[in-house]
Amino acid sequence: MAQFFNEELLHRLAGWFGSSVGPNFWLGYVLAAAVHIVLLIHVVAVGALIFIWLERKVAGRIQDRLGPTRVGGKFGWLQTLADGIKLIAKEDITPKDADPLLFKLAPYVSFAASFSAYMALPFANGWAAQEVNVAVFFIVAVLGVEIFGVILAGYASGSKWSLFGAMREAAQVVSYEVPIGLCVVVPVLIVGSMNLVTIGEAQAGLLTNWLIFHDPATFCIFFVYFTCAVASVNRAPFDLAEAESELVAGFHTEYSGLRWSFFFMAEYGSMFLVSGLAAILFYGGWNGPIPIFHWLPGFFGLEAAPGGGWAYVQGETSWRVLGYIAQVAGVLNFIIKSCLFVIVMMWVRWTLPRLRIDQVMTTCLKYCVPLGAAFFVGAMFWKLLGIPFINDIAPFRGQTLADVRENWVLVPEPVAAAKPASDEPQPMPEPAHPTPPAATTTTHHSPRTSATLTSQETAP
Amino acid sequence: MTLLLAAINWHSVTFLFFALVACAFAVAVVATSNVVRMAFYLTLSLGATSGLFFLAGAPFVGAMQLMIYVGGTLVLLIFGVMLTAQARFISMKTSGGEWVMAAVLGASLLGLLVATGFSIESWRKPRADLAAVTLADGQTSTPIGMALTGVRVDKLSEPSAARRHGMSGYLFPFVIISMHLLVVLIGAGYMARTKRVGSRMALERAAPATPRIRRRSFAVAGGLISGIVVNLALAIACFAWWLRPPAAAASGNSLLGQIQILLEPASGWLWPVLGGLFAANVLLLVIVYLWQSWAVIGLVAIPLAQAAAIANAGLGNVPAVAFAVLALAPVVLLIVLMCSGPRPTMWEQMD
Repeated sequence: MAQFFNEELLHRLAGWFGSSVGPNFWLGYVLAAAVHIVLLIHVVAVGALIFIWLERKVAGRIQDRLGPTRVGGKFGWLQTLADGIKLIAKEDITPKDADPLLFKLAPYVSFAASFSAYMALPFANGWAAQEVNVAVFFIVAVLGVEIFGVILAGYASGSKWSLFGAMREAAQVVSYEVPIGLCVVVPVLIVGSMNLVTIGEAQAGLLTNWLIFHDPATFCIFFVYFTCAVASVNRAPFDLAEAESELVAGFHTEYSGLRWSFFFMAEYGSMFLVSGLAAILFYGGWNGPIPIFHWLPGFFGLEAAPGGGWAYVQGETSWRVLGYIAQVAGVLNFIIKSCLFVIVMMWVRWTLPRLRIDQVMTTCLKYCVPLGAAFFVGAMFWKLLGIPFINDIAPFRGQTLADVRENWVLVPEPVAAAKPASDEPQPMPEPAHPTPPAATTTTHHSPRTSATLTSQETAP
Repeated sequence: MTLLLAAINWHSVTFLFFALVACAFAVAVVATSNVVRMAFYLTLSLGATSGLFFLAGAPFVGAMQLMIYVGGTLVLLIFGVMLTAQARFISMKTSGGEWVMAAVLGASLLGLLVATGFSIESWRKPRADLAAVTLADGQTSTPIGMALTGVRVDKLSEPSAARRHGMSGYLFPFVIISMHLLVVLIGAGYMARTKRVGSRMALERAAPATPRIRRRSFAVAGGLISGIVVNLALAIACFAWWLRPPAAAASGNSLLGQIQILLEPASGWLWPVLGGLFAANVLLLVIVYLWQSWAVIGLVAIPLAQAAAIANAGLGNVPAVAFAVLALAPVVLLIVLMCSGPRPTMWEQMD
């Protein structure tokens, strides 16, 4: 995107003043970063605005009432805005016993953690603020940092309710990181990459290609993931940290006004984040249930382009209208899927009663961890034995799963091919066959094998 | 102005920014006296360090830093501080002597690190082929993962077989560390369990008027004695192997000859070391038989040391891991036997 800015915008602007701009000019990077930041802040902030309104409506309907009806017209559209104005107008209080610095910083730590995880979340093929190679791992790691703000808030408030809430939250989230890691590993294992864009693209095609239909174990582990995701973003029935019935309001008892609302932005932000992660890992991400754009004929002279022009090609910087439309449709797909999961979270919240703290721990350690481990082993064996499942019914794919693997998988083949030629113990070290001692191989080592290996490694 | 901005290396600027944040908050950790604030500053410092990793094109290591240090360790630290800290511990007063000690230690460590850094020739000036360097973005996690499972994919093209040897990955250290963590976990569970017998034991210990009648079960005694016999036999075998006549030529016909071929690549020093360790095992087993519980630690440590010796003597990692598993299994069985059975178990009676 930075290069796009430099080439399409800045270079032309500079042309008027008689100078020129290279593709790696710094201003392009700054502009691209600014655009990304503004877009992502809007995902979190506007998302929170809509989800809070939605939460009120869903809660109302589940409790057989209407929810907000008057503010801003027919459905109470502007209810959250009114809430926001109320919050801004509130007095900002710092308790006497509080640690003022940490008390003031804690909401921003929480929000910043939730927000920076969005950096690695792709919204469509290649449309991520920063395409990280290990995006799955990055997001799980950054989500773990979010509780840090909550703990600080609980400690710094100087109130026993806050401290109890924060301690519960810390115990809960640290425990639930274990099953979440187990669940997230399964799609990574199936696809062979931790890159979210790769995982999403591996599921292109009909909805039978989604990874949740890869095998029964993956199907089951999605529900374990969703349970743990609800717990790790601290939503009911796992919202022990803010249990109103026991702890007044838990870790945010002493907060008011805008700082309080930052905690809620962080909560709704991470709700959307774990939902988006679920959509990409298990439900095809930005790929719709039916690959419409793959079947559409290309026009505007773009028939020769990949996918008839209705596709985005990784790393392209030039402007292509049809590819852009397909990408926007992908973003819509992604957001609709994620919002569905968020709505399910609300549904769960207003349906189930809150668990006790020991029940929360039991759910994690006695149910989610063993189930996650068992399904992990199941998915591994299903993949290993290659038993067909729903994924194989309509094997339409833009890209086969094997293509995704990084090139080290392809390395052993030339070794096997070169074997008759050298007839020696191969230099390819495998875990089961440690390399023979140095004295025996130094003389026999054929340079040809290593040359083959090198060329294979450097090949893309 | 434009020219000036274009002349700046923005990568270096970002690097300096992260490095300054890391250093400044590291100093703030030392300067502040409030424990929780220290932990908060440490978070920022470690987070900036992970930023440096991201900048260097190693997102896996960066995310690892975030997960382990920022997400895991620090949360536990804060958790511990919150649970234990009374008002007098929250604010730590440092005396002048401690400051001097800390300053001397820190300065000497810094001096050592700086001297080491500057002693490396290629680190002193920017490399000549800077323009040709591409960040290894996108390829950092695979080699790490493969190395942990026993294949160094980055060393496949190493031309020298001597250097390629021993590049078979980190499977063995990985297994050792996992074992270590398991031991810690079991230990923590043991410490945190509900102590029903403990109070009674404390009362007994307070008044040791009559000598205790200690009884060991038949299974434990049998295990200990058979362990002594087996270890003694192994020790003798190792020493005998070490002192065997050098003229004995290896032939693959007999069983002994096959064993000889199998063990041939091992270095000469392995056998006295193994024999000595087996003899030490015999001693430890006798000590356990005499009601000393600390010897059990030695019983766990010695097989690990033996496995390490085997791995380093040129026999490879797989026999070492197999040996560790084989040798630790009876030890674990022994510990389980000692901790089970009718109360008071043998473990509870030990000193």
